[in-house]
Formats: sequence, structure tokens, C-alpha cells
Amino acid sequence: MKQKLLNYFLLGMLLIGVAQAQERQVNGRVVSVTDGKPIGGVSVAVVGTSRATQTDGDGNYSIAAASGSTLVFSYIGYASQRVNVGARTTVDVELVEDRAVLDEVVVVAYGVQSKLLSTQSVSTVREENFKNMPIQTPQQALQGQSAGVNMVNSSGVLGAEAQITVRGGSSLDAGGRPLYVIDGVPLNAAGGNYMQAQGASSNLNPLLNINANDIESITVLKDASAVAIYGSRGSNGVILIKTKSGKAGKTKVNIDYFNGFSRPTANIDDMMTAEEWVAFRTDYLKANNTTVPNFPTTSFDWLDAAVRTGHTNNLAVNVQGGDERTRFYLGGNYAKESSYTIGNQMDRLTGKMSLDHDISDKVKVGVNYNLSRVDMDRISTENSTNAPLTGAHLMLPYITPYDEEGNFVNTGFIGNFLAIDATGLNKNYSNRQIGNAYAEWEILEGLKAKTDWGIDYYGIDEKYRSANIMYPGGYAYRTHFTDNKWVNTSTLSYDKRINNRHKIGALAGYSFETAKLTQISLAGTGFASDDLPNVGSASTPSTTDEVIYEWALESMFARLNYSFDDKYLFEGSFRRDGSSRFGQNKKYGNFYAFSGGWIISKENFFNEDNRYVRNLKLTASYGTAGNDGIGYYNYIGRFAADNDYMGLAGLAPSRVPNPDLSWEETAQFDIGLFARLFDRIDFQFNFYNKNTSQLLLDVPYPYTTGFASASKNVGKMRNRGFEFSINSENIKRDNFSWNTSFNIGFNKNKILSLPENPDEFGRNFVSGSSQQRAIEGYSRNSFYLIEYKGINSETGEAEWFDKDGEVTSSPVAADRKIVGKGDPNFQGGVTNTIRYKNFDLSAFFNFIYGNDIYLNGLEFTDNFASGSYNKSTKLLDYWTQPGDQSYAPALNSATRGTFAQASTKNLFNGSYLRLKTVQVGYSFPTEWLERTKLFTSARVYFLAQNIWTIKAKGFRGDPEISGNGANNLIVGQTFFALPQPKAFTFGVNFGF
Amino acid sequence: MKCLKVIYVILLSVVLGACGDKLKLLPEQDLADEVVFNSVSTTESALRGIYSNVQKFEVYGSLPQVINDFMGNTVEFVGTFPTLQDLNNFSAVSTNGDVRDVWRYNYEVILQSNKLIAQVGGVPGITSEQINQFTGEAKFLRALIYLQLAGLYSQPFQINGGNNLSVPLVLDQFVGTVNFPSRSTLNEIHAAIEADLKDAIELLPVQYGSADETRGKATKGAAYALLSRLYLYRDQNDLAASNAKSAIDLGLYGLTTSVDVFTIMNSAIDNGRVGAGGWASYYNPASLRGRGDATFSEALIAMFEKEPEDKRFQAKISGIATDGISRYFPMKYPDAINNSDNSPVLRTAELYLNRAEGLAKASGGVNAEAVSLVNSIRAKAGLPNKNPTSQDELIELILVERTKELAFEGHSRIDLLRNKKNLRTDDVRANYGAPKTVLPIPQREIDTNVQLRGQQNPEY
Repeated sequence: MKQKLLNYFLLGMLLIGVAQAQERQVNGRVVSVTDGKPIGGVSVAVVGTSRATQTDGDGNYSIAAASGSTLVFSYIGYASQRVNVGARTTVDVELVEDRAVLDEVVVVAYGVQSKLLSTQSVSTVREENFKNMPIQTPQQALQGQSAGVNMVNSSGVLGAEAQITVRGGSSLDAGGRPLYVIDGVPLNAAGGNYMQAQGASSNLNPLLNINANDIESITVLKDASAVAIYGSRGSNGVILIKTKSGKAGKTKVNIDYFNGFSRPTANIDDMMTAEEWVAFRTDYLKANNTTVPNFPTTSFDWLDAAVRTGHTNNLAVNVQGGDERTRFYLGGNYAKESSYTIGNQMDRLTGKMSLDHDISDKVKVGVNYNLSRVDMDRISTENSTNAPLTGAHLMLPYITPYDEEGNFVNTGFIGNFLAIDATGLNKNYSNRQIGNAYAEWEILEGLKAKTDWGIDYYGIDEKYRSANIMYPGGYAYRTHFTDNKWVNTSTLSYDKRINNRHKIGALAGYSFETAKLTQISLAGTGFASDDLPNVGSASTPSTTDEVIYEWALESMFARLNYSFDDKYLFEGSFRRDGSSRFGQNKKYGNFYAFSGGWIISKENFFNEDNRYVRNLKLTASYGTAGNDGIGYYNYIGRFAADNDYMGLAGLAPSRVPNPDLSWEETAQFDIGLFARLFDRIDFQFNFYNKNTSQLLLDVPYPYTTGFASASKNVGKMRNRGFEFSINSENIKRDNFSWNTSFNIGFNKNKILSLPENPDEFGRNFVSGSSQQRAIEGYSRNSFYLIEYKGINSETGEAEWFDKDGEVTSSPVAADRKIVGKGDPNFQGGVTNTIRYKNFDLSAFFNFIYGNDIYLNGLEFTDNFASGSYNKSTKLLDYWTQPGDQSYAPALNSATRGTFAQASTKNLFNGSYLRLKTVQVGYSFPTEWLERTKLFTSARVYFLAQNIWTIKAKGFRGDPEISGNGANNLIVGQTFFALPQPKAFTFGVNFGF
Repeated sequence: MKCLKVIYVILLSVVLGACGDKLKLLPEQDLADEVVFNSVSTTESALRGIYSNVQKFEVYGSLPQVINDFMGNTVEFVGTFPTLQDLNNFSAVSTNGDVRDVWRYNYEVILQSNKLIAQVGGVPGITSEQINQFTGEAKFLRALIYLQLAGLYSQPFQINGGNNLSVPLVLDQFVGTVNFPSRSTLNEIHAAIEADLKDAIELLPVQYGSADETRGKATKGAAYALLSRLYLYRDQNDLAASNAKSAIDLGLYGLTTSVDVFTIMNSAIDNGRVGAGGWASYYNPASLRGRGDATFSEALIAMFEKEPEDKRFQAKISGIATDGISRYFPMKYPDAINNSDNSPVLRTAELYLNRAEGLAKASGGVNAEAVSLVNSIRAKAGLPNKNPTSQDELIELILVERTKELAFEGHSRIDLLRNKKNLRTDDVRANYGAPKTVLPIPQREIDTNVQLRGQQNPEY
């Protein structure tokens, strides 16, 4: 990397090409030590000056240099060499080939490593993988790109948190989010704590304020050797985001603009028209000898009113450059996006600055600073009946949004979302500053001390207002939440090669991190006018609240690398974490990992120059990491304030004490094989076995204790699986290339033990939802439901199976059994990229297999008996006479009220294959651009997303869904969650 | 020299890192267990915390009461929630979330009371007067909640003489060891309620410093009134009548001068409303910010229409209900904006109706005092006196007046069942004694308490 930077810099200097006359010329020739052949294009620079040149085709160079000065010779693939000129005027040099330099560098915890020499299991997604993609947030760049990383867009609501699971996840109750670290600063990611409740999946995406255009790479740390050094926060995997920094050389400007539109990928359900509903309901009531009310004769198409065409506009500009000592990067982005559901908009403005300066050869300082503001018009999310799409499905079709005079009407519990959108306010503003400043000092050769100070200042404000029509007198709330963090990390590192065979790397560090979340909220009712938007104008303040959560983490960590002959690799890492979240008996936790690697292809018995297999590497690792997502002070037994009565302060018990409360611990074994085949195909295979113990669980108590549960570290879970990825350069010619990358991750999740809480079959379990539970011996996301049989064609009764497999029309809870699971058997992606001359075409498919999805919405839309909301047109297919093969039971069936109850009727296979993106681009030829004397690159592109999907037969809606965000215990359930958008985008990209 | 540099750097890191105390962080919005019963003021706050939980939606914040009314015959439920619709259709299952939550929060109140009763004696600086009063309040609240739970989860006394299973009886504080109580019989629950109320009568004051406190906190009169209700539920009619009289004789509860013996006081900033409902939310149309879920039932309308001049019938409004159809709503809970309406618990009128019913049922013929009591209730509603000619006629008159007077306050279901009446006319599942006229024991409780296995109510 540094090599590359230097090359850029030298190239830049060459273009500027200023020779200084007062010094003498030094000449020489550069050859390869291996075969003695001359090397052309080698950068030759005089240290401490801006002078540099390159060798010609015969390896010759000439450069002005003062006597006693040092020359640096560098060339990709060779170890760079420093030579003191002394009094000489001729300096010949032999460069040593460095295979390790040939290899990519990967970002790891607190540093970088050579990909070839690393024993860690990591996946990296680079900027070129998601460049020009209209992605809302960086997580989307990971979807289908990284083996073992399952990313599900949890909802189509703008700003909602995507669900990311690394290797099956390592927790039940304690948060499933991986740790996000941006330029060394672990991000605040308290999800649901950032807003007033507006529905389960409305959790704010922790990366919402990060501009994807400013990201250089995203690295997912997966195995123990990679995550152990993050100690009590590593077990859900760690995602390292490295933002762009400047490169020395001529200042470059890049402008990217795109514009697109979107529609929903799928209808969730076909709903009855007013005419259909009234006819159906009338028949239903008559069949049950009940009075038929006079139904209104009006009608309205609510679904049509909820959906529009969404638009995206995005402009990103960045400028970078610098000289040998000082490098900079400036990035800015403005994005404006509207969703295809009414009322949902997002404006985002971000800025990023990075500055690195070398005070001397030994001392470097730098700063990274990201600043952003996101301004959103929110909608209530899925499980609220005020959400446009939810309301549109449930609203009785004879109810209209307007009265005869054209004024909005209040439709009650199922909100008139047209009126809400037109008359109310539902804003979310967030301001975020993430930054770090560092100083690094090379004390001795190879020994570096570094101190890094980071902040994450996150402020989220909500402003909500209901107008008089929706809330008589008006209602408003306002929240001001801040989550402010600072972190200091100091490290000492030492790198040394002894006798060219022993390579040693050592790192020791200390860090202290603390954050304070403050939640201030106000609400009030009673306004003089709808024109007074602020809560301060309310006559009755109904909520005045301030809640503060603070935590701190103190850590010591170390890592040692040793390799012999670049062939036998060893790494050990350790971290000790003390956390304010842990109980007094368990204040500190120790975490460690060991790993080893063997580069088989370097052995003598292996012909390193064979055409078939190169860089063959075998790695193995074992170690531990934890999860501290156990709440803030949950070990303290306590009474909560704010349980008041008659204007006086009250206290009520809120938690059972547990001085032993601590982190969850995951021990992981990983074995990996990497190779480059036929000099075209990079191949990687990993097997892992993860055992999580001390699972944090709200151990359910009988309610007769006065508590619902107690937080305890009990329970064990295993994730076992393997990952496979290939990256193949199928065709590699000057004018034509075709690359394929493919990855797939298989995972099997199994609950090994849980606290005593047996089901009917004696298996302990923990409930996630009414439909889903973690069951000992089975998946943590097992669907536990009555099995639906169908409608009896003779009787018209709905039928289920009881626990003995007998058919019944009146099943009970004891008849439930395991009928599926929410976690997939495997998921992955495949990308094909073809370049022909100046055209490029890429197509990316992602797929997921073996998971089930429960559509909670069907308990409503298939509800036969209710007269309070609209129904699916499927119910029109009801039983009328013996022999009918119908979807729904007879109108007067005894099962009319239970037909839609939770059963496998509402459970579907969630597997899908989706053409996620197709992109076509054209880059203007360099000759044309040169003539403009302005542009260095120009490209136009067109991109289509989510345009084609294969899903299970009968599946209503979009299978790419999880209505519960980062909740580990509820996966694959949806209550009218918004389908993914089908989007089309056009863009241009210019470089100057 | 170079070594010194290294040492310097290491020292610097350690100095920067000496922050061990920073790991000791305490919650800012809670008090640790140990602190609460260390002073009289925090103990009194813990007592208020019990009332605060009684305010809750699932306790006396309307959910159990509205269930009792729509499963009875005074309310037509047209709301969207499937869990409530299932109860309304007598087709609920044991995993019903509302059934679970009602159980959960009612038991929270019981355990809070248990804790206070167990701890109050040891509070430093507390006076014996304070101990008595606090204990009396906690016992009254515990009795109130047990009576509500027993009514919801077990068949009435009349089915099996009180020998059927009711709810688990827990009278001890929770100290960390989880116990697994099985269901007690209804008689055992009633005996515990009776004992608590007799204690409360001894311990509680007749009134407090302000009229609001006397209405909103447990008093001697409230304990008598609740005991009277218990005896009525147990067909101990003499005792029902005499305890109602004991309350009336305290001189605070004139039929025209007093509304409540005991009510849960709510305000705009302190009430049991949750997103899913609340008194005013259920009983008001959307135009008044309600959900419009709970409306006058056809049976209640028919009952009122026999004497449509009844002031209690006049006090109604028409509005669009959840199903988009215009229906009648009561005006008992008008504040759907701020949900400040109080939760009715023991109304003054109930005292008079309890005494009338107790007397009418206990005496052989037409009890004159009972006739006069029921006529005083009618007079308040603007209706003329009636002169029943038989005991049955008198009892029926009292029950009709009770239905009309206490409509929308959570009495309908239990009042029908204890008088061996069917809840509906058109559904056998709602017949007196039918299994689904009572709620299931929540599946979640059976799942977590092995002693409850095999103790589920029939047909769940």
C-alpha cells in the first residue's frame, strides 16, 4: 500500500519534473537479483526532496542528488531499497522480488496485514465492488458479496436498519449486530434506543450517516483470530470500514451523479374492492344469521393511493492529492431520495476530510473527520396501522379519505395515511460527527508508538405533529437524543525481520472508551391552531422525560505474529476488557486466539512455478470473543422511578439483581484453505465451528414471581458451517474480459442448552414471538405452529393436525410443533462482469435457501370473521358445497373464526433467487478525453435493481424481508413490511 | 537512550489509561433494591408504585374491564385486534397475548403488595400508624386484584360451590428463589381476599386529608365495599348487605353526593393508556380521537329503550365505529385526547345496588328496603318508582338497574354468570358454565411453571 502511495507520488513529481542544477548527476542501472535482467519503470527518488525519476527500458536512470543523500528504489513486486549515495556518481542496484508485496494487503484490527501471510479469516469488499451503486447505506454493499455474511434489507422504509448476520450470529437476546468500526472508532449503534417507538423495524440504521462514496473498503472479520482482539464485542463479527484518504500526486477531482426511480417489487396481497367486500360480508352475516348493517356505498382504492414512483438523486464529489509530506482527501455528497410509499423522503448531506502529514521521517500525524446531516420524512413502520402500506391493506374499502365536501376525514385506528401525510409532520433529523486524530512515532526502526483519539457524536431529533383532524386539538412530540462517545487507543508495535527468515510482528495496546446516551422527550396536546408546529405551543404537556445511559470499557490487548521463511505462520492475540455493563463479580473478561498457517506452495516439494496451483495456504485458528450487548446496568436489582400516582413520585420493582451478569462468550474454531488456480481463479474455503456459551437470556420467570424474567448468562448455541468463494478471471484479453465471482455460506444453527423451560415434548425453549422460538436441539429461529391441513372438501371446515397427527377442526396450543425455521441453510451471491472495449456489463444475483417466512399480515387479511378491516380476495374462494376445493372454509363454518389463526397456513418457504443488479456502463476512450485537456476519465452507466426474482409458489409479497431488524429471536416474520424497490438508475462519472 | 524512550511511551499509555473507577456507573433513573425500604419516603413511593401499576392498561386501565363487558352483554366489540375478537367470539386460544398480559401485570401488583407488606415493618423511622396504613392499603389492593383475576380465569362460585380451580395464590414476597405455585381453588382465593379485606378494614382510615385522596386511595369504606362485592359473588347475601351498609354508614357515600368509594385517579400526565387502547380510546369514535372499538351492544340498547328517557341512555353519542358504521358510544370516558378519565373501581351506586341485591336475595318476599334502594337508583336516572310484586321480579329489577348503572365499568360478564345467566342469546359457547366463558391460563405461564401442567381450563 505504502509502496503504491509512493509510486503515485513519484509519478506526480516526475510530471512536475523540476530538476535542481546545483547538485551533481547520479547514474546507474537497476536489475533483478533473480535473473539479472534490467527492470524498466523503477521509481528512483531522493529522500527528503521532491526529486524523482524512473528507469528506462534498459533499467538505466539518472538523477540529481547531493553527496551523502539517500536514494529510494521502488517497483511493484519488489522490496524497495534505500541506498546511500555517499560520494559515488554511479549507483547500480539489484532489486529483490518480494512475493508478499505482490499480494494484496488486508485491513485487520489495529492495522493491516499481507493477505497471503495473514492467518485470519476476513472478507473484504472494496470500493470498486459497490462504486456507482445507488446504495442507501454501506451494509448494502455487503449483500451477497461476502461468504458467510447474511444481509437482509429489513424493510423498504428509508433509514431502516438492515439485518446483518455473520456466520449465523452468536446471540439470542443480546443484540445481533456486528461491531462496526470506522477508521478505528467503534460506532455507537444503540439502534432502537435512538427513537420513539414507531414499530419494530424502525430502528435507525447505525450506518445511515456514512456516505458509501467515501469508503475505501469494508472488511468483515469472521474467525476468532480476527475478532478476539475486539474482546467482549467481537463475537457477532466485526465490520471494519476504512474511509478514503489522500494519495500523493497530482490533485484529482471525481464527480459522480446519478438519478433514478423506483416502484415496489411486489404487491403484498390483492385486497377486496368495496363491492366485493360488502357482498362477501353480507353473505357471511346472512349465513351466520346476524343482522346485516347498512353498508356505505362509497369506495376507494387505498393501495393505489399509498404507492407512487420513488426518486433518487445523488451527487458525490471528491478531491484528493498532496505531496510526499502532506496528503488530503475531501469528499462531499448530497443525496435526495423518496420512497415509493407516500410520506417517506430522505435528504442527506455528508462531508469528509482526511489529512495526513509527515512531520519527519519518524513522526506522522493525521486526522479523519466525517460530518453528516440526514433529514427524513418518516412514516410509521409496518406494524403500525398508520403506516401507509399497512393501512392500505387493512382499510375497509368503502371508507374514503375525504368527506362529501372534499375534507379529510379521521378514519380512526386504521389511520387515514393520506391525511396524516398531508396535515402532519413526522421528521427525523440526525447529525453525526465521526472522527479520529492520530500521532505515530517511529521510535526505533520497526518500533512504532501510536495514539489515536476518536469521537462519535450522534444526535437524533424527532419532530412529530398530528393536526386537529387526526387528533382533536392537535398532538406533538419532540425528542432530542444524543449518543456521544470518545475513545482513546494507544498502541506500541514492533516489526522486524531477522536473518530474512524470521519475521516478527508484535502489537500491544490500551484503550478506554465511554459513551453517554441521553434521551430527552416531550409531548403535548391541545393547540390553538394547526399552524403552530412546535410542542411548546401545546396546552397540556403529557410527557416530559429525560433518561440517561452511560457505559465505559477499559481494555488491554496484544497480538504477536511470527513467521518463518514466509512459510510457517503463527499468530496469537489477547484482550482483557473491563466493562461497566458487567456485574461486580465479573467485571473483567479475558479473550484470546491462536492461529497458524502453512503456505504449502513454498515448500521445496512443491513446484512454485507450476501452472495449476499457486499460493496454496492452509490456516487454522481457535479462540474466543464476547458480546457485551447485555444492556447498560442490568446486573443491578432495582426499582424504577416514574411510577407515580396522584401527582406524587412512585417507585416500582423493575429488575432482578444478578451480580454475575457478564458477556456472552463464543469460542470458534476455523480451518481455511486458499489457493490461486491456473493463475486465474482465487479460491477460498473455510470451515468453522462456533460454540457460544453463557448466552445472555431473559430467563422467563412465572409471572407469579412479579417479574417476567431475569437476565442471566445461561444457554449454549452452536453455529457450524462452511464458506466457499471463488474469484475467476475467465477471460483476460486487452479488449475483452470476463470475471466471475461467486460465494456461498452454509450454516447450521443449533441450540445446545437453555434454562429449564420445557415444552410439551420436554425440550427447553425461549420464545421470540408467538410463532417462533429457540428450542434445544433445534434452530434458534424454529417456527412452532399448528400444522394446517386445508379445507375439508366435504364439510367446508378448516382442518389442522393435532399433536398425534390426527385431523382436527379445533386444534389447541398443545398441538404446535416445529414446522420450519427462519434461518437459511445457505446464502450467497454471484457476480459476472464483462468488459468489451469501452463497454462494461455486470450482473449480480443473490440467493438464499432453506428459510421460512411467516406472514403475520395474513392473520388479518385472511381473517374470515372480522368486519373491521379489508380482506384478501383469496377469501372469495370459500366453500359452498361438498366437493369444492376451496381456499377458505364455509361462511358459517365453526372454523370461520380460527381459519386465519397462527398455523402453517401463514408460513411460506422464504428461499429466493434475485437478480439484484444489472449494470451497463460505457467509458469514453482516453484519446477523446485527452483532447478535452480537462477530463481524465468519463463514464456513463445504467443500473437496474431487483428486477427479477424467483420465489416460492403462493408467497404473497417480497421474500427479502425481516420485519424485526436486529432481533436475533425473530427472524423471517413480516407484518406488511415494505417490499424492496425495483429501481432504475442512470449515472455519469467524471474524473479531472 | 532509546530504551528510555520506550519506557516513556509505555508509561504515558498507562497514565492515560488510569480510569478504573470509570467502570462503576449506576443507573440514573432507578434506585437500587437495597435503598428503597431504607426510608419512609421511598417506602411511601413504593406504595404509590403499587397504585401506579393498578393504573396500567392491563390492570384497571380498561383492558380486563372492556373484556368483561364485551364478553358480557353490554358492549359490542367491533375493533381490529384478533386477540380481543377471539375472546369476543368465545374462540380464544391459550397463547392469546392479552390474556397473558392481563395475568402478568395483575400478578405484578400482587407481588408488589406482598413485598411492601413484608418490608414495611423493618423500615427505619417508620411509625406504627404508617405501618398500619401502608399495610392496609397494600392488602386492599392485593384483594382487589385477586378478585379480578379469580373472576377472569375461573368459573364463578355458583358452578361448583367454589371448589373449582382458580389462580395460584401467592402471598409471600419474591426474594430471588423461583417458586412454582399450582392453582388454588376459588374458595381458597376468596378466603385470602376475605382475610385481607378484614385486615384492611381494621387498618385503614375512613378518610384522608383531601377528598381526592379519600377517593383515590384505599379506605375503610372501600374495603367494606369490596368485601360486600365478594360476598355477593359467593351468594353470601346477608354479609353482602351488611358490609355494604357498614360502608354507607360511614357517612361519606350519599347516592347523590358521592360518585366513587374508590377510583383509580388518572391525569393527562399519569394514566394507564397504551398505544393499543385505554378507557377513552375504546369508548370514543375516531372523530373524538378514540379507536371506536367498543360500542353499546344491541342487548343494552334494547334494555334502555324500554325506558328511553333514562338519563343514562341520554348520555350517549353517535359516532363512526372501527367498522365504519355509525354506532352508540357512552360518555363515561370523554377524554380521548389526554386520557385523564379515572378508572371506576367501586362506585357509590354499587354499594346501594349490592345492599339491595343482598337484601332481596336473602329475604323471603319483597324486601321493602331493597325496593326503596333500587328506586333511589332509578330516581337518580330520572325514572319513576317501580313496585315489584315478587322476589324474582325484585331481583330482576335490581339486576337490570345494575347493568344499566354499571355498564362499561367491567361488571357485565361476572354479574351474568354469578346469576347463572347466559352471556349471549345466540351462541351456545357463551352459555352459563360453558368452558370459554372464562379465560385460559396463559400458555406462557404453563410453559414456565411445571405445577400448572394439566391445570389448564377445559377446552383450551
